[in-house]
Amino acid sequence: MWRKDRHRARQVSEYMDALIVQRRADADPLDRLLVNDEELHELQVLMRALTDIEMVPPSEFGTECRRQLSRVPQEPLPISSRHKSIGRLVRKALRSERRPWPAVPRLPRKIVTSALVAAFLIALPAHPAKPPLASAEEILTLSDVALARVVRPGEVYYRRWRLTFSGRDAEGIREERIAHEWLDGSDLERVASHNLTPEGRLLFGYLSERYDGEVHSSVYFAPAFSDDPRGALHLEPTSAELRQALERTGRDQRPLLRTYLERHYMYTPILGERRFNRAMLNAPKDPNPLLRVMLAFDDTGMLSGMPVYRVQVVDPARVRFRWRSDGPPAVSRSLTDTVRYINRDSYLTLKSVETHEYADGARVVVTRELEEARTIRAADLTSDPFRLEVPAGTPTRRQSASDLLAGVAAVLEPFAGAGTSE
Amino acid sequence: MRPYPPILRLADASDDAVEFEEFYVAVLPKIYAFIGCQVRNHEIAQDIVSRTFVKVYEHWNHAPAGEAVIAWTFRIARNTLIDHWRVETRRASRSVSVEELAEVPSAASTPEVACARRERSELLLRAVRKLNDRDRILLALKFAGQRSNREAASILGISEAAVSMRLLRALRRLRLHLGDQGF
Repeated sequence: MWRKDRHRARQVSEYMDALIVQRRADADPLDRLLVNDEELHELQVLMRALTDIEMVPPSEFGTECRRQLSRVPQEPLPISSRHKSIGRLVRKALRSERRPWPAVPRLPRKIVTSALVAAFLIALPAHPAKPPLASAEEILTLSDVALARVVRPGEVYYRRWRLTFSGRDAEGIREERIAHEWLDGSDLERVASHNLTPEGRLLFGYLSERYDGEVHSSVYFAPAFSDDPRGALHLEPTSAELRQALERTGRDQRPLLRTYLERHYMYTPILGERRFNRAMLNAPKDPNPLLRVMLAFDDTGMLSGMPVYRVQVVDPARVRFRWRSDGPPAVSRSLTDTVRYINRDSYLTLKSVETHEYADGARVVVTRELEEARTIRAADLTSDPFRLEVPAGTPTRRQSASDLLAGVAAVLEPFAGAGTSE
Repeated sequence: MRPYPPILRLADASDDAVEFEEFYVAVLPKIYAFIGCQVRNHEIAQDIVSRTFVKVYEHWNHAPAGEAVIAWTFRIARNTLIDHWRVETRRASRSVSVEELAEVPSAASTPEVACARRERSELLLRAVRKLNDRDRILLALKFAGQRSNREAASILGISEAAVSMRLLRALRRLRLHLGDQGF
């Protein structure tokens, strides 16, 4: 009896953690697990009902409570928290690594940073903390190695996702999409994706590949997905164009815009996701004015039989960007809670749930679930996924890096001047 | 342009102040939900949440580093809630009034579905509030606070296995309280 209960307790806990992550998303991958047992089935219904309860603070309460706090005296910094001060030094050192160091040769800078990191680690035992994760560079290197293992020259790595958009706004949106993604094993910078309706109608296609020494990305928006009835082909700004545009922005805006670019909010199949995950896993060590808050980090979990990091972060501002055919891009900002299950071997995502809350009160939950991932011999492909087919007569627009950054800067303006500065 | 969500910047926009602001914006909804589903009405929830954040703010310079600060905040919230219950017990006024139940908003798309969901949520909350303190806190941590078993174990000071077992038993007791009411 005890053993049976222990097994049930584990099943219930696994189910509940999965449920918490995908709150209010209808897909329930664990249904099959519990449905054959009467008691577990009843508990499952109960758990679903419990996670359906929303308890939100009145809008004015947060402001009023915060106002009270500004009158509360804080205890002074204790001597035992010396590591925090040292940590701040480390952060400053890391922050300054983003700037050019013309006067300081490379080796001493590394030594100084290493010494600060060492001092920080020495101070830690007084206040035990979780061991730090791999560095951003290590993560990218590891994931490069992992990708190279997954897909070799002459092969294509393929993934299929199910995306669910559900939310609460004036129209009560509800939408599903299927996304197909491909990565070329012969050139790991060559990626493509197609987003379709469940009925198979193309919404947009994406292609990114290197030519003239630079990676160029193009997006074809089908008429149904574009504000232009003819559809549109967008040529996206390259990394170099974005870097140049960034240098032309004001000094007060630059740290925010750099954060936006480094976190890789802009969609690029597979490759962008790795960079986003890298930034997410490094959230606590990522000093910038849009400070992310890591709400949960669990490196012991399993999903679909694979070891995963379960990471939950809250971004004070995520930017949604939409180009228009007859004017500047439309941009909006949301407070976003992101939960991701990240494969511990490849640093690729297995599942993601994002809850966006917009200033007008709209709330949108986007769930991405990986349905299939496999390697295919390029010779076995029946069609070339790395060819973006655009109907004749489709207008082509070259997106401007400056316009893109100007739009982002406009919606992030309330955050300018907070935290770091150039 | 007003920041969204509304953020009051401290006069001294030091690193600590900015860190606390961001932390506050991110964690307030979770703590509010954790407290709100265990008390009778919004006023009590707001009082306990305010007291929790006053303690958090007072001791912010002693807060643990990294993600442990979240568990630390939940522990303060739990202790503040238990203090509240002790006072209430002395006043012998912990009965649950249906009229005073916190308003439960619904994400449903039609008024009928919203109404049905609200009724269902109120029924559940009423049953949750009939549980003993230990069960109620655990369920609130899991469902309202959205904490994993590992985090719940850290907050409650017990093992993960104990959390799993307590959770199963708490759900069974909740089901008993609900009886034959469609759950």
